[in-house]
Amino acid sequence: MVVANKLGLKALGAGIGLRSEHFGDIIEKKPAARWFEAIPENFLNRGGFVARALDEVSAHYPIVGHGVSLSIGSTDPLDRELLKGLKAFCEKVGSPWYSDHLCFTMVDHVNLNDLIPLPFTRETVDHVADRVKQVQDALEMPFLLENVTYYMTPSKSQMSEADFITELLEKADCGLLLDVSNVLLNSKNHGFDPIRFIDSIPLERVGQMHLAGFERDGDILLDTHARPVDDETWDLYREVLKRTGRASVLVEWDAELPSLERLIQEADMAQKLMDEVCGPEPVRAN
Amino acid sequence: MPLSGVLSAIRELIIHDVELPEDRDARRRELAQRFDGLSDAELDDLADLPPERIRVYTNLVFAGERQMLRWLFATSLPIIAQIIRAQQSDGDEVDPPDDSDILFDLVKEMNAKKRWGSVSIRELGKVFADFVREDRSDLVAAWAGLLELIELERIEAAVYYALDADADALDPAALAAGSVDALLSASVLLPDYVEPRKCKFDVLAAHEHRQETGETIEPLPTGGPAFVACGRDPESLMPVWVELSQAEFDALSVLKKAKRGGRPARGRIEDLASAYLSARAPKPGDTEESVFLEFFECLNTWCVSGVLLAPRG
Repeated sequence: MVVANKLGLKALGAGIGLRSEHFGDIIEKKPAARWFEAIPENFLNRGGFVARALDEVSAHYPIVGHGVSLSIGSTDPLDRELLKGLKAFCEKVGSPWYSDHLCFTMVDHVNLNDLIPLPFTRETVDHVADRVKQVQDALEMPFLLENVTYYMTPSKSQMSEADFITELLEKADCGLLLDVSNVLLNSKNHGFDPIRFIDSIPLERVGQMHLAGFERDGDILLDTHARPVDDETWDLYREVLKRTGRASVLVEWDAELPSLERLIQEADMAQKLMDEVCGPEPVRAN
Repeated sequence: MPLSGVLSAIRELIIHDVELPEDRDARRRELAQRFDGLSDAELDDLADLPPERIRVYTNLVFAGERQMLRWLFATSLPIIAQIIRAQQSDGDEVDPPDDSDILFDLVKEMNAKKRWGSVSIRELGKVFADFVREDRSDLVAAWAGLLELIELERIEAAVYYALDADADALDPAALAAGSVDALLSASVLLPDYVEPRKCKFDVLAAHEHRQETGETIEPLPTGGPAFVACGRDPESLMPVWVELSQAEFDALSVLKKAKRGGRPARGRIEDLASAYLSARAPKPGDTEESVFLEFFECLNTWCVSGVLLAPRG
């Protein structure tokens, strides 16, 4: 049964990431991409070719902002200049919502430049919820938190990941960017049932999804974004769609970057599955 | 605040690739010595973390920085890897370490000695340049011009990313079509991101050679200083290097000096011409016309490469 979506965000269908290697092809060929997800940190305080490419792409395609450096879980103060820049970016491209990761990337003013997991504790819930509210006040737009892959848990968990996410989203009253691949990887790396997981989190708060490929490194699966989406991930994605209905889903393939055509093909597969599970896209009245 | 202590400890374990004992109790003792602000429960939790799982993050963080540095310093890094491989070699190796492993260790060393304190890739470049200069003088001693090459590549990245000047492309053909008076009185602007440089070594040749062939050459010390500037092509918006004569360098430096107190570096073409003529050594056969044409060729190069722009307003 499809849950009623609390956020009321438009379902954009399947999109792809905006990568500098593809700028030329996108501008010249105007491919049939439904929308692009752009990392604002690649454009903030930058001019020249990068700024011009963003102007050209945003003139022809919907763009949604997805950041990597908010470091929402950190105990360093929120970067207010960054927040101003993100708000300006989203307004410039007309992003309907903004998202970043449920993790920390910087602490003690040292940039780790990766998504480091947070402890699943009530202290973390309270801390992050407070910061999310500050971010939402600053951005003045819907904000989504993305569940990350975690290869360790920094302290003994007081709750499961599903309960942690649920409590946090409710307390912060924000949305969820459900990374379906991360659910699968975490279920395999930490031994839990991914279907039970998705049934334990507030799917009515899902505003967007991610799908990505992964690789094995010894006894763990790594979220490398360097491969096509695999069959098990497609299967879990179908299960999520049965519960959420139509959505905005982004195919993340940004390492060993394929051609633009191949990337669009992957997104088309995600769209095809969405149409199969949810029925054809409603025709919009003119 | 307990959370801050836990996050700081995780940061340190990742960034400093702390070698922890395999035995859990020994690990706990070492963690207690290292992180004296943590509670018993927090120390227990950290001790329960398999070291190889912390190392997953260490590998991700350093591999990520290595990739960014490879983009920023596409010419310098292979040279540095070559130097380090030679330093480590005993001449007998069947399977020498590859660049990826060498550079991974270099990034690890950089993180032990320096701090990347923002999300800016340009700042990461500066941190790396400072690290080579201050902590790896052996590399600088092994390859003449290394610091100048690193600086050149840093400048190129800065030009690529720089915010646009409040100016338009200068069309040399349009300048040539007007009267000489109109040309000389035209305003020009040197964008903030253009930094004319004086180099001791011909590092631009090394950089361009590497980009064209993938090979490294030793930059030969030039007979005198070499002068270069990096503009941004007004059409493609890509960085463009130009070699300058001493006279061109001096002329552009006059404009650079005009930049004071937030005002842009602007002036008139006649200011540039005057500075050029003053700095230029006379040549046999010089005529007024030939010298003017020579200056106009320089002006053409500066316009086409985006070193000079036409200010708006």
